[in-house]
Formats: sequence, structure tokens, C-alpha cells
Amino acid sequence: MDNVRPKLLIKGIGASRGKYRGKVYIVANKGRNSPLAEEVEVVVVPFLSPFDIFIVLHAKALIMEHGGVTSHGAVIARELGIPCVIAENAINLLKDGMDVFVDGDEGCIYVYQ
Amino acid sequence: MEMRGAYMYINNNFLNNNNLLDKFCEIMAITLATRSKEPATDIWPHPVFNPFIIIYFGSKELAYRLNRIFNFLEANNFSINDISSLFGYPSKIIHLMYNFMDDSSNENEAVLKTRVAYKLLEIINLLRNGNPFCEDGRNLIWNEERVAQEISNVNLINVSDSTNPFLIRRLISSIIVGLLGYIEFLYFCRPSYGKEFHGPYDTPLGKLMVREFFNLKPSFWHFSSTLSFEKIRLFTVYPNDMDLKFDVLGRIRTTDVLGSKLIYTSIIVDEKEISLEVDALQRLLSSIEESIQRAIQEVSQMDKYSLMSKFLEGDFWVLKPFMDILGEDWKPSEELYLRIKRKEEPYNWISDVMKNTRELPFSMRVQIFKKLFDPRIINKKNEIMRMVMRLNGF
Repeated sequence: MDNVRPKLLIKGIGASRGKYRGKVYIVANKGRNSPLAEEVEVVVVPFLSPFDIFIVLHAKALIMEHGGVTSHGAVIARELGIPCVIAENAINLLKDGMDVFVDGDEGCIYVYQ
Repeated sequence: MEMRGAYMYINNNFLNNNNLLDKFCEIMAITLATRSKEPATDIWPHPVFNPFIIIYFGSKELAYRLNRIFNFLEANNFSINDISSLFGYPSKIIHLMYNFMDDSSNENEAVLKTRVAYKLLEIINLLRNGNPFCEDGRNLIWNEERVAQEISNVNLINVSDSTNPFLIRRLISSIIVGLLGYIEFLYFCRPSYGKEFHGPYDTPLGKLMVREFFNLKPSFWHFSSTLSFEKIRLFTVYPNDMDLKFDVLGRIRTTDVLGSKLIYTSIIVDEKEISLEVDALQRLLSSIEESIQRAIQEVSQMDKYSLMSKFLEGDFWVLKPFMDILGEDWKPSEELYLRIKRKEEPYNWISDVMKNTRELPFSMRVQIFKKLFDPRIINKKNEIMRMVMRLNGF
């Protein structure tokens, strides 16, 4: 898998520095009472609501469709020290389980194909 | 009335030429225009309801209540310093002032709102030591003497000296994140009603940021009664080269990560400094997580209109210390509850202004939003809507 070259999928806004490679976990449509997901890596949300707090506490990276550097989700990502990218339409472009590289410095999301 | 272009302003020379109010409108306009192009789509209570809708219910009553409070306190020889101390923190006043976006239908109402807004800005100016809008990126509510005194009263621990620095930092970050989530349940998109982050203060140890969480047990939420503490203060010291800036709402503006860069810390829960052992931090985190679980259960069972009432109560809860002095109930009037219960849906013209300006240049959006925040304009809704239509080519 490591020999596969990543392809730039989305150029968004970097809201919290750092880089992480892992599997996509799309929170939307899973309902408010999603079980705790200890194994979640790259959490994707339209925006971060307080209902998502338990999931994000276990996240290694965060992707949000809406917001800015002062938005709630971005603040939380920085407090946790995990990369965060704000990327419009991310939920349509990403799929659960997809292998991605999140670059919070540059605001980019790469996909391994 | 005084015409300025197409806008009707109140006939009051002193208030019309108030630099602090002009600056406030400009800073708030820039803050709003810098946000997402569709404000309110990235904050709770969206998508249940658009938070601007609450303004049409509570703004007038809040302004009249504030006016009555100020008149009473001044008649009873409360100084501006006394009144500021009762508010305690500045960012919550800024959040309260979002209510001034609503229209005033006549000059008397606009004059009253303007006088109240001016008084609130005076208070913010005092609480932030002459830098009311954090224009230099600092939210300094303590002076040097107070910083030195506060630091000497606590035992700042170097996290690297602990047996498991990684875990300690992670637990402290989780506690902060848990509290941020918890106050969003309490106060929705107005978290400053329950928190103030201030600093950065220069200290011999590094840059100090103080995170304060307060009003954590408001009586209008059942779930809050189970939290074991009322307030918490976290002293956190970071390296001097850390990029730490604040905006007018006391929000941290940086893309730098915080958790892993923490050097020294001390946590005070209800005036008592807690131990920085893993067990103690874990207990604190568990208690916050338990309250969030209760919040999720309670909030999930509520309909849109019950949540709107809670949002409204948050605005009025801010004035509770003053209402206690007046010897009156802090709650909004029955009339406001009834309007929500009757499922009134006021026309959300502020939201329409946001939507219809999202493709306009930044500077143009700022010009429009400045008018939105200006309480001195009479009937601003019609003129702002006309302006937005014109700019969109209609």
C-alpha cells in the first residue's frame, strides 16, 4: 500500500496544523447517538455539533464542510492537537473507509488509490 | 431624525458621533464577513433552527430590561466599575449585543437601544482595559499586577516533569474539549455565556492563556444540575514563540495546535486547585462526559420550539445577577414564551441578508453588515434589504 502515490482530492482551508493518514469515518447520516468509535481516524462532518464530541475525542484528524479557523470544530481540533481541514462538499467526495492523507498545514486532502 | 445617505439615524449628536459604537459596528461586520459564507450553517442549533430567529423574539425586551437595570443601578449609586464587575467577563456582552441586529421601528426604540449599546461598550472597554475589541489580538482582562498575584496563588506544574506527559496533555485537552461541548449544549452558539479565554499574558515561564468556564449550572437545564462544579479555571502556559491571538469574541485565532505545546498548567475547580495526577484528571473528565451524556439525552428529546425557548433563556440568564439586585425573576416574559409556543415564525430577514450577500466582494459585505449592527438606524431592515437587492442587480 505504501508504494501507492496519493492523489490530491480536495484543496480546502487548513484550520489546525498537522498531518495524518488514515481511514475516513463519515459521521453524517449515522445519527446523533452513534456509538463510541474508539477506532475512528479521519472524522468527516458537515460541521461539528456538540453531539459529535465523543467521536471527535477519539479522532486523529477532522474534516468539516463548513466553518472557518474560529469555528467550533477548528477550535476543538487545535485543542486536541489534531489536523483539521475545512473542505466544501467533502461528504460527497469521500467514502467511509477511504484511505486518505489529511494535511492541516496546507488544507489538502489526498486519497490513496 | 438625521438622514445619512438613504439611512435614517436617531437625532442625537452625542450618540451619532460615538467612535466606540462606530468601531464596534465595523469590527463586528468584519468578524461576520470573515466567517463562513453562510453563517449559522456551521454552528449548533443548526440545522434545528437558524439562531438569528431568536433575535426577533428577545431583542426588544432585552434592550428595555437592560435600560431599566442601568437606570436602577445608577439611581442607587452603582459606579460603572461596579456594574462591570457584575458582568464579570467581556465576551459574553459581545454575544448579547448580537441582539442589536434587530430592526427598530421608531426613533424612541432606536435611541433606547443605542444608549444601552453605548453603556455596554463602555463596560467592555473597562473589562478589557481600554482594548475593547482585541484589535491587537490580545484579550487582556487582567493587568500585570493581577497576573502576578494570580500566578503566585497557584502551583504551576511543568507537565514534562510528570510520569506520563503525553497522557496528561491529552487528558487536559480532552477536559477543555469536553467543556467546550458541554457549554454548547447550555448556550448553543453563544458559548461566551459560559466561557472566557483570555491572554496571552507575558510571564517568566512563557505565554499564559487563562481558560475560564463559568455559569455551568444554569437552572433552566435539568442536565446541568448533575455537574459537580459551577466553574473551572485553567492556567495554561505555552512557549513564547507560539502564535496565540484572540478576536473580539474571545475566540482563539491561530492554526497552531495547542494541546501538545502545553508547558505549565494548573486547574482550579470551584476555587480548589486539583492534583495533576492521571486519576484526578480522569475523574474530572468522566464527570464532564457524564454530564454531556445527560445533555444529549435531554436535548435529543426536545422539539424545535422547546429548544428555541432554551436559547432565549440563555440570553436572559446573563442578566440574572442584575435581576437579583432588582429583586425580580430573571426569566423572559410569558409573552415571549407564548409567541414561541404559538409557533410564530418571524421573517428571518437577517438570514436573507447573509444569503444574498455571499457572492459580493468582502468590502461590500462589510459595508452592509456594519448597518446590521448599528442600533442608531431606524427602520434599517427595509433599507438594507433594498441595498442588497440593488447590489444583486434587481
